[in-house]
Amino acid sequence: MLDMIGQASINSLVIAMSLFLVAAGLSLVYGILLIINFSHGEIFMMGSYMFWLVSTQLGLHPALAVVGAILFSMLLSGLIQIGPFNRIKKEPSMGFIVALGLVYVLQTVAQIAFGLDSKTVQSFPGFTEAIKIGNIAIGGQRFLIIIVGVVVLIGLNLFMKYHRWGKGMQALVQNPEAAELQGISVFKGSLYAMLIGGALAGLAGGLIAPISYIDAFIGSSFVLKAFAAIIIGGLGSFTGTIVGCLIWGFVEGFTGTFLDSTIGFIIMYIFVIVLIIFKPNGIMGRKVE
Amino acid sequence: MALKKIDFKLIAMAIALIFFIILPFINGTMYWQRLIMSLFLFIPVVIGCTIMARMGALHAAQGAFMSIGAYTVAILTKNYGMNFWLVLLISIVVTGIIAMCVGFPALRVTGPYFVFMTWGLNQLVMSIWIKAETISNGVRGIDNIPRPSNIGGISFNSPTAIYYLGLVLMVVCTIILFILYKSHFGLAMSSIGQNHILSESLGINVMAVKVKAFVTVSIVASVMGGYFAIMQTYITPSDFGVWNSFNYVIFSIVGGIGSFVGAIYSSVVLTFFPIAMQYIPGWNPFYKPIVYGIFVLFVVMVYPRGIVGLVENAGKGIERIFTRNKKLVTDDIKSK
Repeated sequence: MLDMIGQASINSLVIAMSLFLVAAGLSLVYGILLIINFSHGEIFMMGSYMFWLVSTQLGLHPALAVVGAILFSMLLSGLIQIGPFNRIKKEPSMGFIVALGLVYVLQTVAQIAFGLDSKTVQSFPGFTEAIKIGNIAIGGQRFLIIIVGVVVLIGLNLFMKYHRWGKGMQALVQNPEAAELQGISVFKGSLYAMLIGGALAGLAGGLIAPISYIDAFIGSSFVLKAFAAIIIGGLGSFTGTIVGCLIWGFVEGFTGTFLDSTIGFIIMYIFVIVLIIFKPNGIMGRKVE
Repeated sequence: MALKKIDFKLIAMAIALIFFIILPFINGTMYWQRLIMSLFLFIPVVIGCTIMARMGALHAAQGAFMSIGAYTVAILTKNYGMNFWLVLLISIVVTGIIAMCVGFPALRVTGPYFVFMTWGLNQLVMSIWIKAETISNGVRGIDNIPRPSNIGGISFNSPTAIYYLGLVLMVVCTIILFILYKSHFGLAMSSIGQNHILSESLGINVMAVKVKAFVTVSIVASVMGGYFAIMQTYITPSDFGVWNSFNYVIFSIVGGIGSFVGAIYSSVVLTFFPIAMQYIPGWNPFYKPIVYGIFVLFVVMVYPRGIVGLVENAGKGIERIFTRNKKLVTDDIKSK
């Protein structure tokens, strides 16, 4: 029983970390652009396909494939920012509609370009063996996801705290007009946020592809869970996002092991409803309008 | 001058209604009747999305509420042999309660949060229908749903009767929603959409208005879902999936943001567009979403007035043709 609990915890941690890789970019973009970038999941999906293309079709090393996925996702993300997102007013509902339109377009493009069948890729070389701690086993690829997730968390926090544009983005989240008066360009800040978000989505796409499968619809369920995690954690703080991801991951992991993952979804949905009633700004978030 | 008083929209609606009434007499094929029946289904549902969008809330759970109506009808009439009309009332009550339970917390938040709450609800309801195999038969769905029982000597055994039932339900639901849209209540909704803090300071109970609208819209969707069950006689969870709900949201925007007539126009497009596209060489049904996506991107970014704007422009063009001579005369006088 203890082993099962340990195993479930490890699985939950993997779910939480892969969720965090998607949610971090989503949270960053939401904070600055005030758009739930629903198409973030599709950028992630395109990153996965790019990874598949470079690693299996071109036969290059997976590390290079991840770089390819990151670059492609950044390009896509930057184009989305320069094109549609830049043209609409900062109205959350309209932003969602535009993102939804992009989702439809990108999913169909992926279906036309890569076909309807789902693709699978191998784990990274050197991470194919499972690591055993006592009776608890963890796949190498999953272990890699946890490590990268922690690195991304620390890196993003350092970036936000010490880098010039990290501080600039925080200022944009707090008060865009005052930030612009201080010489922080909203356009550049939004673009950088989208580029970082895209890079994280590409990274997630490359890392998660080996433990899952790739098809045109993998993005949307990730975005739904990631957005729930952001709501739980509260907007504007990566610590909050990781807390939200951990809560979601552990509920999903434990109910998936012991009961049924649908029950986990129901529990989380009710939890989010109750949270919105009593603490609309999330567990760690500050007040947002 | 008298021409200006004529409302082209009203004439078009009347013509369409007459066409719907006489369609079974002029064309006996099931194909067209089925197509028009799905149009009956879409109109109130898309209008519901429009009404919510007018308040600035994108209602992405219309599919979930339709499925609640449809499954209530299917399960209670098939497994328990209950009367369809009674079950329709039960489904209204059930949907009302669920919509209220979700509406109160979900409508406290605006914008993306509300989208998330409704989207999550749709996902949740779908997974319940898929997992609760004992009552909903899982992904295989429920088939052989019985036709409604006779009411006042009218039998509903023929497809034509089901067609007319759909027409009546559509007209009733649309009129209810139109009253909601045009009344004082509708004006309150519009003001909430523009500025909810200001509306609250003007004495509008924002929360009550929002919840009432949400519940009404959801009940209408559930009734149409119940109709869908008897129209198709089989239902599966995929008929009400998240992407269907997103389609309704998209088309409520494409029709013209917050426009009631626009929702009707866009329902027509939503129904006939896939049919029309079949005639394009090399067309594949998989390409449908990309066209929807381009539609909505175009409307939001380039032409915010949507289909209703196009139709109004066309209407003005027609009007100009009729009144051209008079206009020329007045122009002449002005130039002199």
